[in-house]
Amino acid sequence: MKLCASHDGSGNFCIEPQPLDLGEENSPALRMLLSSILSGIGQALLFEAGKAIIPLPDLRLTVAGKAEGNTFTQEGLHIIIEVAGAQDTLEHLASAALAACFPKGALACPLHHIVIARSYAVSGISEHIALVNLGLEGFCNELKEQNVPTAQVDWRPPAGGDKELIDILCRLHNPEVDEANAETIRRMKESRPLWTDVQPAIKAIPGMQTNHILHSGPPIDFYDMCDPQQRAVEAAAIFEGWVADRDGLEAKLKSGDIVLANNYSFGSIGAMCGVISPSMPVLVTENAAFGTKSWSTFNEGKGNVIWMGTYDKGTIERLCWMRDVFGPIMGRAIRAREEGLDIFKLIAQGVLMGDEVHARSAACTLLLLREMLPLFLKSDESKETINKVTEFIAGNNHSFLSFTLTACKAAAEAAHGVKHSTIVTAMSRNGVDFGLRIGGLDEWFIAPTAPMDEAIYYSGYGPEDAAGDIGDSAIVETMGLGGMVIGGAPSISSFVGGGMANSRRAMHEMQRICASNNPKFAPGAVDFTPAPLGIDLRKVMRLGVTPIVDTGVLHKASGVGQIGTGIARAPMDVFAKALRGFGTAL
Amino acid sequence: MSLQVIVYKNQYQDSVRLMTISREAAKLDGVSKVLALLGTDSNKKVVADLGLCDAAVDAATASDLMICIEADNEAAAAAALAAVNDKLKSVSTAGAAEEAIKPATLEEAADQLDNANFAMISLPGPMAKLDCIAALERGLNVMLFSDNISIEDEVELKNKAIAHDLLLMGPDCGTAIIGGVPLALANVVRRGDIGIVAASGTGIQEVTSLIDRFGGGITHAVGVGGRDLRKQIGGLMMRFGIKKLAATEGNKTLLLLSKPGDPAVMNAVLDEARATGLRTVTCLLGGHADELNTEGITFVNNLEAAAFAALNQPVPALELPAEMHTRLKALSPKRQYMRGLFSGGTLCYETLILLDSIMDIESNVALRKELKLEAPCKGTKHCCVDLGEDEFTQGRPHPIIDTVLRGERLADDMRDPTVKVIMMDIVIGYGADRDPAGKFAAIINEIRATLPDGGPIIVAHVCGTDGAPQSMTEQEAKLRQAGVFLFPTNAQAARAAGEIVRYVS
Repeated sequence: MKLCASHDGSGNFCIEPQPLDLGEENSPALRMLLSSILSGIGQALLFEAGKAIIPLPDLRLTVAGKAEGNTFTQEGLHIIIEVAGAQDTLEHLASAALAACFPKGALACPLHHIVIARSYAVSGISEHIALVNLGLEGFCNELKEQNVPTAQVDWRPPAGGDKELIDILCRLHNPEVDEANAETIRRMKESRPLWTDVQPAIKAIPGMQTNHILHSGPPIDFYDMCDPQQRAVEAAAIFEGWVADRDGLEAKLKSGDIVLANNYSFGSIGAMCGVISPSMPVLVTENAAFGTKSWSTFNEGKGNVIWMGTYDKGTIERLCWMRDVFGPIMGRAIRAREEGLDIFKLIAQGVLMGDEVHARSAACTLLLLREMLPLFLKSDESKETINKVTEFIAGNNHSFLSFTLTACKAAAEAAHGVKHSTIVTAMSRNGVDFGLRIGGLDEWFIAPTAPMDEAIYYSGYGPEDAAGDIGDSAIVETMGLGGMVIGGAPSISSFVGGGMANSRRAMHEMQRICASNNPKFAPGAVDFTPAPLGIDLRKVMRLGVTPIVDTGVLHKASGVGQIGTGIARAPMDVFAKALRGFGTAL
Repeated sequence: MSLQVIVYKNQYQDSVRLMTISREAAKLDGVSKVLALLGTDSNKKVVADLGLCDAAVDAATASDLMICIEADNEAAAAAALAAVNDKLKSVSTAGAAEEAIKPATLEEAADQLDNANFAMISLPGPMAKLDCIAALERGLNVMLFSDNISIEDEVELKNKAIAHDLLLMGPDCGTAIIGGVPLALANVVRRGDIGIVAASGTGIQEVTSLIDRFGGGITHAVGVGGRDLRKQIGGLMMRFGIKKLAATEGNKTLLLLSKPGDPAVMNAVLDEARATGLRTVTCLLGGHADELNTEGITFVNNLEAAAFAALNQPVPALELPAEMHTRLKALSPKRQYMRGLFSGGTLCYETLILLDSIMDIESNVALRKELKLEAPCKGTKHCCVDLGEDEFTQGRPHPIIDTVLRGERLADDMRDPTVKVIMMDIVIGYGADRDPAGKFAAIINEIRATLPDGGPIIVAHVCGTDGAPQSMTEQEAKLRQAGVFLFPTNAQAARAAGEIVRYVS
């Protein structure tokens, strides 16, 4: 028989809903003993047998013994008291308390008690002082005058000074969360996503229905979607041969013949508008370390392309060619390899060659070609087909982006679901809403996307023309690439003000909100500084700094597609909501 | 209106960089559009759409740079082109020099130090808890200067500190001396064999200064915050502080100092002290030992007695100097009241305790309800004011740090024809005003010259040491020159004030 009761530090005891030996838990003797403990020993400990309240932290009482009916047997009863405090004081307190509660003869069996004091070696006070100062800078200066080593913190109010949020941050500042976060990050680092196959979406993505059109970001109704995403859905429906125009689409959405769903509901992932319809070919990526999978369409390139929310006749023709020619060839080629393509290994090389693999994938695209060409040439494909396929890959610096997305998604999926983890495991936007998922919580947190005012616009356009931040591709930052490792791509240093000094500063700022870093991705351009990894909700809220996400900017209405590029900020509101979510979960 | 295109051959630039350059140049006055583009087919189409097609554009390749400028006039266009050229030449748009990045968190700051072991926290109270937790988790002792911390948080933080074998000094802890280093408002005090745990900031200031002045020294002085001996806190840090000192080399005497708290808590503290085997002096300001088990413990109830008991010396007798008698005889008989102007709360409190049996003194920290003074705390009879209380420090620095308000009160009381004696504490040390004596002496000299009988007698005590940046000896000398009578302890100054009030010529 074993029973546990714990003390919350404020004078209240509660019975732990855990290891109770069933069968005996209703024993009258046990109940009698428990109530004695709750009203007797606990109080007695607190009052030191009737004297003062001595608050004790984390008191845990375990009662162990054998009972028959309402009598304890001769073997005796063990009362184990685990408490934070100094050993000698506690032994003294416990003896006094037990004597008060169980006078001689009150129990039919011997009573043994054990006090376990945790971590209570008390060391002397140090002669040496090195001091961190938070607040009045004068204190720091006076200590410097006396040659005491000091460092002043450039402090800012945590969570914008919101008391409720600060309370939650206080509760989350504990080793249990640190351990959960370390596990999340271990899974991220040990992930080994391999590109293994290409299949039509309907065949590859479990649960996808023949009338589904998937899109990026949190779930959203067609009429609430931003203009470019609506256009992308329209193009997909036309490509599938379901409708001829917008009117047809609206009718079929209304009748339920076409159903919209977001990628995250199925494990797929899509850049920008992120639209996937059943017959589009998707690359299949499998995390060899953890078995998680993800799927994404191939990148279409520049111009009128549905990922940028714009299309024409040529766009649909290209989609058909990708379905009929490009996808199948890529599939045959990769299946011919002994093992799939190790995507993170390729990214590691790309990062050394000037990619951050979100806005810039030029090096990775070349590395992909290097992997593919021998496979193509060894195959029975016609020279003309090989020519067209390689031209298509080579003509688009973003060709590798889809590979990166699936790899990051398969890794983040493996990392998700560690209880108490405060590490971000997904960020996903649809041009209207920003969705955030945290490792230790299952629900999604949603808030409006932040304004796109830090981006760089093509001449003639500005933030007022922009649709909201869009795409599932923020999974790249979630996995410590893209904006997290912007110093790896000197060519886009202007995203964060221009020059490597600014890029380094941006990376440093991102490191501040991350729990770890990843030496696997260590760009030479910033002295091989490892990429910040594992965005920690606690740090984001404590510092008031949200992740930067490298991205493109779409026109909000005109259908011209891309009008700029640069960084988007994840909105602070969504992190505040997630932190409140933790408050509820605690 | 000027619309033109210039093509630079073989000038490949990153397209994002070009966008930035275009945007910057387009900001110039009179410039409506600037496009810096590489000569790709799609970009050439953009240029053609602007109606700017020429042979150079036709011949441009993807490694050539096309610059299109639309401006109000030729001059503006030329300026825009110059701007583009400038930007193209500059290596980086960011300055070459990289400024050092300041630590934004306690952890980052701790990383910058070798073996960081303390955090001083003087943040707004409601926001300070997170950094306290962060400090403790990081293994730093905490000096928590902030107030406005709830009792529950105080208990939680202190338990956490104890579990990590760390001190949490505070909240509202203004003074501590660790390893000879004065923290916040404290003096440089000679090292010795007296270890102090105290729930009073100026209490520490006074006893350590007296110990120093009378030849003794201390190991460490640990502050625990004014509420530690309350029932809800249970003397957590006082008891732990005693344990810490007992585990520290070099302590022979333990000096415990607080206002009276819960007797049962105090007994637990005394048990802890007895268990150390060290000679122990316990001072409960104005308190009594009725409900306490003081076996083997020296019990006192004022700071002066505490310091001398710890020093193992007799308390020096009060002697009023001869000049004081001369002054007293010359005073107008209308003068009969005492005014105490304090910057140290505990010094004010000690004065009230010592004089309570001989006169009724009104105060904002009165011992008895009927003597309580409300803001602005201007009494008409005997009164002692603690100018460090909340009503004086809202939106204003503490009187130990800023002398202005006390200087004004001093001038007012000197001009009051019914005032016989003014008592002041001059608290020096790190964190304090760098020349309080000089400032008060100037006021005293100026006003005394206008008063026919020389004005009220002024008694003062300098609380501090010669190790302080202000130097106790120098501060005393400045006051003495201004005709102020100085006493080596606050208690003596208080007793002298009492004698002066009772003196009948």
